[in-house]
Amino acid sequence: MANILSVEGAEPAAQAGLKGWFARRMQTEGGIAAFFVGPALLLMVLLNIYPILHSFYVSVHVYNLKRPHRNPFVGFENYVMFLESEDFYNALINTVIFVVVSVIAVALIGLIFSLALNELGSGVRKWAVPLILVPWAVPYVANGLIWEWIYHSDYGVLNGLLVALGVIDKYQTWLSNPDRALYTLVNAFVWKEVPLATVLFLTALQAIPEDLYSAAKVDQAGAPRRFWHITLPALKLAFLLVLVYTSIISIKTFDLVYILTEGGPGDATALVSWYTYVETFRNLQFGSGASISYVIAIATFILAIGYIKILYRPQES
Amino acid sequence: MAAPSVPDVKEIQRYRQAAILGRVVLYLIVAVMLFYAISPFYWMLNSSLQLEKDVVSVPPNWVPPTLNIGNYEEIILRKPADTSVAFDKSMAGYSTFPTADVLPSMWNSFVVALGVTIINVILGCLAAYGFARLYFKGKQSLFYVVLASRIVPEVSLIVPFYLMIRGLGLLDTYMGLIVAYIPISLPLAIFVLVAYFETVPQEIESAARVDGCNRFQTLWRVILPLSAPAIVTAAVFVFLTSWNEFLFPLVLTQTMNTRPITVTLLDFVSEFSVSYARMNAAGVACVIIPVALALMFQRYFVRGLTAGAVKG
Repeated sequence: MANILSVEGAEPAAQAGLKGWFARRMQTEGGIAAFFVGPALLLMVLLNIYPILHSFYVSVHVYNLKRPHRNPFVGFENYVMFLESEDFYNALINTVIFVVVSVIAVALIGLIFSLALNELGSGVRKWAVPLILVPWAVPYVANGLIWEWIYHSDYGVLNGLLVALGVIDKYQTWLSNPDRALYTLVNAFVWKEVPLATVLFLTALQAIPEDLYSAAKVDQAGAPRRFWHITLPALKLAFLLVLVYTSIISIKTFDLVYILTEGGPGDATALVSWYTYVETFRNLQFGSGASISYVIAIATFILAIGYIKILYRPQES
Repeated sequence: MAAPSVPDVKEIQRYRQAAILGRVVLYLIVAVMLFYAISPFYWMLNSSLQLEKDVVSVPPNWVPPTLNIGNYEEIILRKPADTSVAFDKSMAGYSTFPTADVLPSMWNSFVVALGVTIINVILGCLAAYGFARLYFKGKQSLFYVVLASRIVPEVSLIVPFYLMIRGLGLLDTYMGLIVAYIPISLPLAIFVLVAYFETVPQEIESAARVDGCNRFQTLWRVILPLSAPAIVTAAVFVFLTSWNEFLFPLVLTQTMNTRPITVTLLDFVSEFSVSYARMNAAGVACVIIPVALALMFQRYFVRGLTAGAVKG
């Protein structure tokens, strides 16, 4: 950033006191930046970084609300304890299945939808895009309510529809069926997250210059080759955003579990965030709960870095 | 273009058929997509407009046999629980009895979400300008730290937050909720705005600087007017995220003075409420404002996200 044009160095400030300090600060670009970025950063530190650090402090102590005044330091005992617990491994496996299936489904469905919308004219896009965006806007609590009612084993429309179409001959259980419950959660999640993925892919698709395709046609490249060599590379950043965003959101999934299954039947839909909640607020083991969150956060972070390493190499294009 | 020999009639026909078939498949995909996105809403609306006995019929009623808006009257007009049963709210964190707290809690949601939106858009624009246009030490890593801080699951922040908000005496106040929501959506707002600000040509800004604008004036008079789509996108993002928040208000609110609609919705899903029609009516009340916002602003929204998805 060339700064020959900057005006802030124009007046030397010789005053003392607060005014002088301010004037001196405003002479450097870093000083000005502090006034722009400072407020947001300060709030982020106070309201996010501090709780994160505090929760680390909690995670290496015993914090049991039943005995609020005895919080001995225990080092990493909380971590060892939950890493050895079978419930945690169950939750971990559920979460891995949930995340992998959800992320693949969101990316794939979003890609297909966006390709179809991109091929059809802007006339279709104009009214179709607002409509498909709607599920993205609703709270997960409402999302849960909607799908709970659709899945209802006695009066649900899913059963009604499948019976009417002759797919099944009598009403089935969905949320209370241990083999299906996790996938019913996945569906409710995918339903809400596909719209944003579709829009992100679509905006990337629309930004591809038309002459790239024309040139490829002149060179006799068939549709599959054009897709592979022009479309997919142009979608790289959109893919990165969708994968990282969906992974993070899916790992944190909590509201849906709370409304739809409460981790049940049995522990078939206990995801790590739900397990953390139970440990923290039902068993009142704050220390243990905080330690689990820490491990989840670090795992998510490594995953995000991994995506970036794979998909986002510099010197692209 | 290479001159081909006279094209085969049959071949042209085959191409045309393939093109028509392709078109049919595309429309089919869009139809499936619309059905998937919209039908759950239709079902909620449909159920909310039926009598309770029609809602629980087998097979289901695809349209209301008798149109009934009584469910809405009931959730909006019915007096809160304390008139029907003696119920000590202070004992049970939130009431499990279905009450008519829908309108007040929608208002709570609205006030808090609007407050957060105003604060985060202002802070976000300032910060995004700094990140997009100014050089300072450690800029890149700071930006990533701000983004990455959202990776930590909310569940783990709840306890420190509860203690902090209680310490500030802000439990069960709008301010307490606003303070809790700010860090949730601020990073995303900054991200959207930075990506967009970077697409504003540097030359326009330089011209303004030559004309004697300082940095604040440049941001206010040059960058912001050109960035309307990104500002609207960030605002809608922040508003929706705040409106949709559930776990924080579940813990940080205690009474109807501040409880948002997402938490009130629980009353209608709980086992005590056997009315599926009322449950769906409450669901409609919870989604109506987010849905209206998404429909109203989606145009801006798609443009506002473009910079992020294309350029990063």
